[in-house]
Amino acid sequence: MRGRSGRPEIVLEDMHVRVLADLCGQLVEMVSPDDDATDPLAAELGLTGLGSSEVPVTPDDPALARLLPDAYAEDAEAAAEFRRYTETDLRLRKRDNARIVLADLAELVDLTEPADAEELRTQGGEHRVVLDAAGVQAWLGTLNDLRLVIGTRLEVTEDMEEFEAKLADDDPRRWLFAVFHWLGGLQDSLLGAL
Amino acid sequence: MGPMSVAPIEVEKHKPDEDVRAETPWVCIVWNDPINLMSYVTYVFQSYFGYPKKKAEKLMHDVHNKGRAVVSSGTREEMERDTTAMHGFGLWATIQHDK
Repeated sequence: MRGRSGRPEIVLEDMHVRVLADLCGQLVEMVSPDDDATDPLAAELGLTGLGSSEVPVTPDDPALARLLPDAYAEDAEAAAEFRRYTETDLRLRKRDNARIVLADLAELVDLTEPADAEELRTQGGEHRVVLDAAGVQAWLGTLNDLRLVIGTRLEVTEDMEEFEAKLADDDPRRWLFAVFHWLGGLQDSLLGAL
Repeated sequence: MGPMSVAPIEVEKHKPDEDVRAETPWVCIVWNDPINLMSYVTYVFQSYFGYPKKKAEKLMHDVHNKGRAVVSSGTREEMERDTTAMHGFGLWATIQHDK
């Protein structure tokens, strides 16, 4: 939605701030390159990954493979070569997006303090994040990456509703589906405000 | 080339078949996936490629209905840049030589 400032806004409840921060933390962990690949000097010189003896391969984890797909569908050699030169940058871009979102969330709620259930019930405050152009891109990218990860874990298909309806009430995937739909709603409302 | 020219060699190196290949360039293909929102895919095509909304929506529908769409074409380097950008946005994209 668009706020009084005329700029796009994200509106979140206390509880949602914490859920989203938790997910972003997991995303940062998931996409961050190995330490040796993030040598700042090497990154500045565009040398990341080049000196590493470990050539990156298509990730085994389907969710990570969806975030970092092969660029050549029919040429494994070209795909590997391309990955070698670009994967670290792609990981850093995704990590930095998630960190921007995390920083925005940390301004709303003290994330270092554990959530107090009583406090959440009584306050239940609404928070607004007003976004500039860079913020919009970081938020949209991160919301999308989270949806890709969760959607891949859930093995979402075009017949998602049918699949979801068949889940037992106590199936833990119900909660993930709820998060998945919620993230989609956030993303769509932000897009509607642009 | 006049007789004073010192740089005719580069020009003459081009063989006819290379010129043809330059006209049948590389392409960036975006593939359908069941997760990305249609509104987001349209936004990416508008904001990254600068396509007008109508063209962005048509491409999005092509991706959705036909399973894939060529979203840009050019040199291999340009297509690698576009593909990386698409991956940055979270779209499933590949590079292909448009034979």
